[in-house]
Amino acid sequence: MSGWCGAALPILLLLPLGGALLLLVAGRRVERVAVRFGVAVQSIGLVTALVLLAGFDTDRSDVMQFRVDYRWVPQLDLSVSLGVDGISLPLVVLTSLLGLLTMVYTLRYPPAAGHPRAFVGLLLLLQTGMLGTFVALDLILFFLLFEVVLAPMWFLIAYWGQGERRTAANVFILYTVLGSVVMLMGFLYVWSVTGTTDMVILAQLHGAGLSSSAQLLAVILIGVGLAVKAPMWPLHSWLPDAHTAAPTVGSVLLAGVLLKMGTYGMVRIALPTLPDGAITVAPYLGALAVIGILYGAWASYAQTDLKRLIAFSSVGHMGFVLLGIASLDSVGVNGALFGNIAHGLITGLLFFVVGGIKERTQTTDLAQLPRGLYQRAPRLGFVFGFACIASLGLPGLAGFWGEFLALVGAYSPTVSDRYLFRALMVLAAFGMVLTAAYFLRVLRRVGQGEPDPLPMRDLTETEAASWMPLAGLILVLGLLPGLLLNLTNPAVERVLSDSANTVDVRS
Amino acid sequence: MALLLVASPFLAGCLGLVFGRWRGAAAAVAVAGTAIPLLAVCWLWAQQPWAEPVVSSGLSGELQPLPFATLVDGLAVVVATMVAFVALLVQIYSVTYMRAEPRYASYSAFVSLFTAAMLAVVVAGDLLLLVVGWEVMGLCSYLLIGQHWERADARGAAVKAFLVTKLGDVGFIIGIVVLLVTTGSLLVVDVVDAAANDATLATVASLLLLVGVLGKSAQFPLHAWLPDAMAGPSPVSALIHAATMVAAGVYVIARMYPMFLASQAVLSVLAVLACIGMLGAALAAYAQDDIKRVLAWSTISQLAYMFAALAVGSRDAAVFHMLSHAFFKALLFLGAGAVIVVVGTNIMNNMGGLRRTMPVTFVTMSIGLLALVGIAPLAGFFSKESVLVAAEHAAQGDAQISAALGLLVFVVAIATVGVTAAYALRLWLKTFLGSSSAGQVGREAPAGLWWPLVVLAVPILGFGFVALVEDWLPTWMQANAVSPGDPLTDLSPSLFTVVVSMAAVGCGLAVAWFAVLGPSAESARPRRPWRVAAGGFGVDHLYRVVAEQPFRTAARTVSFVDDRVVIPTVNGLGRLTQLLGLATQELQRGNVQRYLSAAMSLVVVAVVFLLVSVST
Repeated sequence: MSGWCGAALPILLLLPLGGALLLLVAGRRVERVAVRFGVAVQSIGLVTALVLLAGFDTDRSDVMQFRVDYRWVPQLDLSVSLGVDGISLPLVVLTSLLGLLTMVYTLRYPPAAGHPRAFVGLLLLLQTGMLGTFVALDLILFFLLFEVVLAPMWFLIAYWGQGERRTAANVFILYTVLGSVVMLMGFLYVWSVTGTTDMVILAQLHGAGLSSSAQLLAVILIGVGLAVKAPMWPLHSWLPDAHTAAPTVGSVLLAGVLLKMGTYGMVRIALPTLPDGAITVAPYLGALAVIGILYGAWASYAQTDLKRLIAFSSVGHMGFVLLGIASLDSVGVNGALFGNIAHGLITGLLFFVVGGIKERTQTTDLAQLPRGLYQRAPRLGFVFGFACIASLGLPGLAGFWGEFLALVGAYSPTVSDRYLFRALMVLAAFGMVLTAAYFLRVLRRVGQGEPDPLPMRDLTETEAASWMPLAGLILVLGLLPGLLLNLTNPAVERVLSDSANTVDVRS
Repeated sequence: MALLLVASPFLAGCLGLVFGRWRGAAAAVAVAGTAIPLLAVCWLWAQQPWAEPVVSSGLSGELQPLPFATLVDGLAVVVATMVAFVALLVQIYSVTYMRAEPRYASYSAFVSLFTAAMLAVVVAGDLLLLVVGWEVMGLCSYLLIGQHWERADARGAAVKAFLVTKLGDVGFIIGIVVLLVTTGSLLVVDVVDAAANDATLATVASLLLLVGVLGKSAQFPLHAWLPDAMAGPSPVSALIHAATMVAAGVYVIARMYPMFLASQAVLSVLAVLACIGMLGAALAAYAQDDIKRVLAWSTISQLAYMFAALAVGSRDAAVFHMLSHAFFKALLFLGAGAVIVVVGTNIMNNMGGLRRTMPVTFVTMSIGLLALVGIAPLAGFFSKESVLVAAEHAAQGDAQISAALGLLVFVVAIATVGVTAAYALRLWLKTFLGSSSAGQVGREAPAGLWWPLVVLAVPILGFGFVALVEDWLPTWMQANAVSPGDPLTDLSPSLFTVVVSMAAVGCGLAVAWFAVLGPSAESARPRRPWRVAAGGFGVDHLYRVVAEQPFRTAARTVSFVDDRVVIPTVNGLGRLTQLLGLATQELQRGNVQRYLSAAMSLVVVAVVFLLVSVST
């Protein structure tokens, strides 16, 4: 590979980190230009991600590309090992895009609690952690970057949030730190048995050297840590509070990227490294996923706060992603990865729009929100309606394909409990109707009804600029799902295949 | 060319949504966007015979639905012609009908999107395109029924339509998944071939798809959304709830007919549901006071005729009736819209005497009603007779379903002919005869409203004669058919069915005449059976008990559990956070700059902790 290939990933990670450090060092005098600086950094980041996308060899999307191997602490066999394949690349691009869009949004709507320099610095630090999680190819590095994300998010919620923000932030960090500790134990256990933390080698081994019981123990430990993040029912209860309390950009990144780190970890680490363990826990994961779908839908229907409602809807949507993973079928896992991206785009957009509504009305309480948004702010209402329709899974928009492919996967699972999974599939399909029910309720409450006579500001240019890319991608991926599936499919096949037909991965 | 059918109204819809500020431009785009498909269809007709029946995509695996495959054969072209024709007239009619509507741009854009979705279903060559069109149609229906969302009834009707059809779509989607996984293909042609040779698969998949079809085509027990959907503007009713969306269900069965034929069980279910739908909906139609609700129930009843035809093994009769019904029901809805615009009410008791003031509407609607009743030589006569002939054959044991069931279908169909005549006459008498204040001072509807009625009257007058030309329409529909083997059906009427059905018509007309104009009926309160029929036989109540209330209860329960069980558990854990809180108190006193450095140090601490824990 040529030189710039090796530099791409380090640039992607070090750029926001350097930006954050620069803001820290520069002191108060850069307070005014901090957000513009953040936009610049994130723009370069997105360009880098797009260069990565352009330079990515799509014919070999199952192979780790743009590899970086730097022996960090040789004594401990600890190395900085980075790379992207068809599974991680879409998430890297999504993260870079959302990182830029949140920054553009902050340009127009600066943090209410002030201190833009710290706010931007934390967002940049968060960016490094999120991107790093998706490109790390070493278990310990993965864990470290996974943890890097927590601190900035805690600060974002605790200092720039609203309502019960301190409690919500503490619950968030407590939950995820406890989960991460369990996950770390799992990683260390795998290391102690196999003697390596290299995720590529572990995937190549495909469970060789790990007995079934060892795999089961490891998959439970690792799985719990990742499931908290996903979030899987019943480990979801940090999410509604965190979302309700978080500032708009925090909610967008939380839903758009942070939740994906859990499900990504399952596909990246648990499936290839611990195949036997995954088979054992798959039925339980599938059942919990479907409980999450139904529970999330019913809970959403009963919510009185719009942000909380969308948070619960995430529980349901991520339930489809988890169901796809639990099927262990290549179609299902592809569906899960598609659902990851689609949910990031759609729910990111939803939180943006709800944030915009809150800017105007100072409330997200469904009972207090003025009626007739379609009339009072037609463009804003249109985007809101579009996001809701996308979220309820209309075919032709991105949200549908992830759910549909998860259902296909659940109908033909690669495990013995075929009838259980078929029952789960039927229940999940009913979950699609329940999802429609609560989103239509929201549209009826917020969009329709006798319009409030008071004027309301319609879509601003900044809002349009930071939201339209998401809306456009939702439509494009909805009409051309193959764009994404062609990228993920070879990599998924490799993740699920056994070591026998795995060829040289370190090319 | 097939993609043009879908793409041009789709783009027109998108343009309308984006550049909706200029009303004239929105109207021009909307009309052009629906005119292009009609021209494209004409071009397809002219290209006969088509060299390539299947315009296949580069579909190389189940995971690469890109691009969508289309399938253009005789059936698709025949139905696409009807859809494009009716949609164009509806768009033109809407320009005048919705002239005072502030949200005309989004309205016409949704009609365009709807047309695109319906045409996508018609030319779909793979199951995914079918699903996309199918569901987008449901969405557009929701949006258009809820056009006047300031009104509570429109809001409720829109949500009801979406959720009831979506409930049916659970079955539809599962059916698609079953077909996809079992046959390993997405192409309609392959799937149908495979399923037609596998009785179990055919039964399971057909039953599942049927659930979705019942929702879309508003058949018992998923019909209850359609009468409420009359809260939408009249042209919407004409397009969606008469000519196209409800026809999509019939079309899907026709498209995949070999699969349905392979399962006697499914056909029997279809036959029974069709019987309930035909007669039940016709009786409900007779009991209505709202002119649009009469037509809505009539639609359910007439669609049940098409399902009856499918159940007794005659796809051609079903499609024939679908085409003629699309013409006369679109005319009736548009005519009712013209009446409502002039009179200002939907209630038939407040109308009367409109024959003098609205002569064009009167004549065209009379033609439509005669076609609905099935009077020769209108299109409705021929198409209904073709269904009756097929049912008669089935009663003699010439179909997949048992002869007894065939006989039931035939008897119910004949009885429904009588009830249809009764409610059609009742509507005609109450609206156009007699006298009322509206009938005295009224005037004819604007030209933009009545000339589409005249245009629609042309196929109603002429189209039926295709049945007399032996095998003409069936041959057309089988042109380039992908799965030949269906014997051509003779669509011409037989003497026996004509005599029996005309006797039924006579009885029905006599009853209605006496009931409406007789001495006792006019002012009397409707008797209890009719009140039950007017309410749709209590199916709405059943929905509330079976679906809505359990759903609300579940939502409340889950919310309660989350608040009272999950949250307290978390709060218990929260005590632990107080310990953490002691540590963070120091941080809270500092300024934000220090928090940032604290964030950094937290990372550093984590790294050190890790290194220490690993190395020991």
